[in-house]
Amino acid sequence: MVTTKSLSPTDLLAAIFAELPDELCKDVIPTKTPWIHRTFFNLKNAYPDLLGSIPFDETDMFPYSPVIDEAIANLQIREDLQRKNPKLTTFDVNPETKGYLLRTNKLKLEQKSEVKKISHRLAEEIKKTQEKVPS
Amino acid sequence: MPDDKFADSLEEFVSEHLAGIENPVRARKVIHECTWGTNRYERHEIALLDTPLLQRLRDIQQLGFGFFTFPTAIHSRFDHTLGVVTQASHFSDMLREKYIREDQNPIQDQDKIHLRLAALLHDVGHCIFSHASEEVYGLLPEMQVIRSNKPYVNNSPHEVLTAKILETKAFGVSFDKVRDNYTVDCKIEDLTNFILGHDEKAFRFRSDILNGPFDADKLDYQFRDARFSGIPMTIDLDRLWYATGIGEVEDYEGHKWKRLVVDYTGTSPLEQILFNRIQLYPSLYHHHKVRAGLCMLKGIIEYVQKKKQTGVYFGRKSGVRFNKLSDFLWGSELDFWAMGTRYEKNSTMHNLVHDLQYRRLLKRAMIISFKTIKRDDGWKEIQSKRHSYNIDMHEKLRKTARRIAREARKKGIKCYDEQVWIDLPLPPRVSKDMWGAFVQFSDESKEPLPEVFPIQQWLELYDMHKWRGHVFVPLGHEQEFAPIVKGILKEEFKLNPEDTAFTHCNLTPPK
Repeated sequence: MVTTKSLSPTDLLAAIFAELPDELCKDVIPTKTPWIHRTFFNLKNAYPDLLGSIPFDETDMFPYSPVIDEAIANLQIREDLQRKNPKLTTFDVNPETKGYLLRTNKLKLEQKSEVKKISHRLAEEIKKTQEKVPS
Repeated sequence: MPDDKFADSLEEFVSEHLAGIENPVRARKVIHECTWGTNRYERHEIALLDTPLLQRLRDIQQLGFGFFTFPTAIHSRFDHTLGVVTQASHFSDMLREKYIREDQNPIQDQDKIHLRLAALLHDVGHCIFSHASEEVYGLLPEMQVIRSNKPYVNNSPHEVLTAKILETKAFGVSFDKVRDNYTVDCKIEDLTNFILGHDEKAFRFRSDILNGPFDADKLDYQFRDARFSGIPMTIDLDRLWYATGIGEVEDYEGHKWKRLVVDYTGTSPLEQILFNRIQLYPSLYHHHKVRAGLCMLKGIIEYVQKKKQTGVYFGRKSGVRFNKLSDFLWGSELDFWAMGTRYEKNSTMHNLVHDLQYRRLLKRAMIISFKTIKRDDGWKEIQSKRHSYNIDMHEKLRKTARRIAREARKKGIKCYDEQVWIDLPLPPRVSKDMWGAFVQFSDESKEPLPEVFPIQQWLELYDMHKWRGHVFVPLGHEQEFAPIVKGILKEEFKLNPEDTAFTHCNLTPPK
């Protein structure tokens, strides 16, 4: 079990978003709360080593995590995630956030490898939303 | 087992605080209060209301240390409790009236009785200074264990404590007496579910009334907190009552839920509730004087936890270390202030308590905000610490604050570790509420509120630009502390403050 004791959930999510492929970093990441929480809930089940300690409430219409909520708010105030004008319905990943995984010393090597896998899976989930919405 | 110890201590607390519940209540009572007027209470409600479990709420400030900034904001959890009963009652009556006409009646007589009882009991888990002490006991290992369990993940610590109180054997025994004496048919489990916001999909609208996006609790506290603090706020309640109904909505897996829905014409009051909630944060709940008071409370409790090996007298308990959940329940705010008088003049405990009691509040040595800190790696680092009830993040910030205090003492400034705080308050979590508030159109289709109007984005922008964190230090030494704070936060978090981080709190920026 990889420990994330000293790692803030905000830092963990920053690392995951920072590893998204460039074409998904602009104008496509959905901002809808149910989508974000449902997606990370599924990611948690697939990658429990790194995301297993994030709690989710499963008593409502979508799985919801207060920790994810705070982390997304923090990523926005940190400007890692930026809402795209004028609709404000998608996030961009700040170009300066890219490479965060390489720069940070808060994650061990095996954790970095896990982050890349999670990010890859997140990219697939984002692509699915693009397929559903006609351009 | 810590769980057993917690259960035993809670049983003892509940058992003592339900004394007298068997005393007969001979008639219904009318209670007058200035926010919602005159309201009638049934005999079984009075039986509960007259117990110490409910009466102790009279000595818990609804707004923590809000009265330091807004002198008339001295309303109690007891006042608020009565208001929530009134609002839950209005909700039930409004829905019953609406659907009786349509021959449906989803709110049965029994539901109204349950909702009023749940409203009456919804805050019995609150402790001294309400959410202020919650920031401390929310970090205790006992609470961390309970909240990691699925049913409680999204509930705040005081809601969890309320649920645990209702689940005790002592409460069950006393509640049986109420049921028998007044012929009330009610399951405690239903009350707990309403309070926690849980219910079956087909009846979810019932818990929405007490713990939902625009529930009786929010309606009361927004009106009450605004009214007593003197901050003008409006909610078009008549319109909200008129527009609220029950509708069927589908989740992403195709399950059907019955929830409270608001007719399209009623979206304005819904938006008002959300705007008010957001606006109350910077102006009231996160006002720097209010937060300074809250940090002083945390300092006193931290002092007892770490340095008072023999504990303190709190209420009728001695040897209290504030390291158990039940420690927080036993005493009132009067007992808390009395702690200061039990210690010799000029002792640390005496000084810490009296400084708070007589409003010798901590002062700001730095403002941490979107506009006062250079938005580089340091800004990111400090923001990553902004997580509620996260022990690791809390400890990291406390370690840095203690280092600041040590450095100050080396320079000859008299201060205690417990007087230095890096305070990063959490913004309100509204996103889940917004996505649970459904708007119904004329064709009976329904959409979550953010799909109708992108209110979430506005609220997030508001948070970004209005949010403020602070470094609090002892009164009279803020200018001396400023360079120490700047240096240590630069070293530990790479934080680069603009001059405004100091000038906005009337200090000269350190070089």
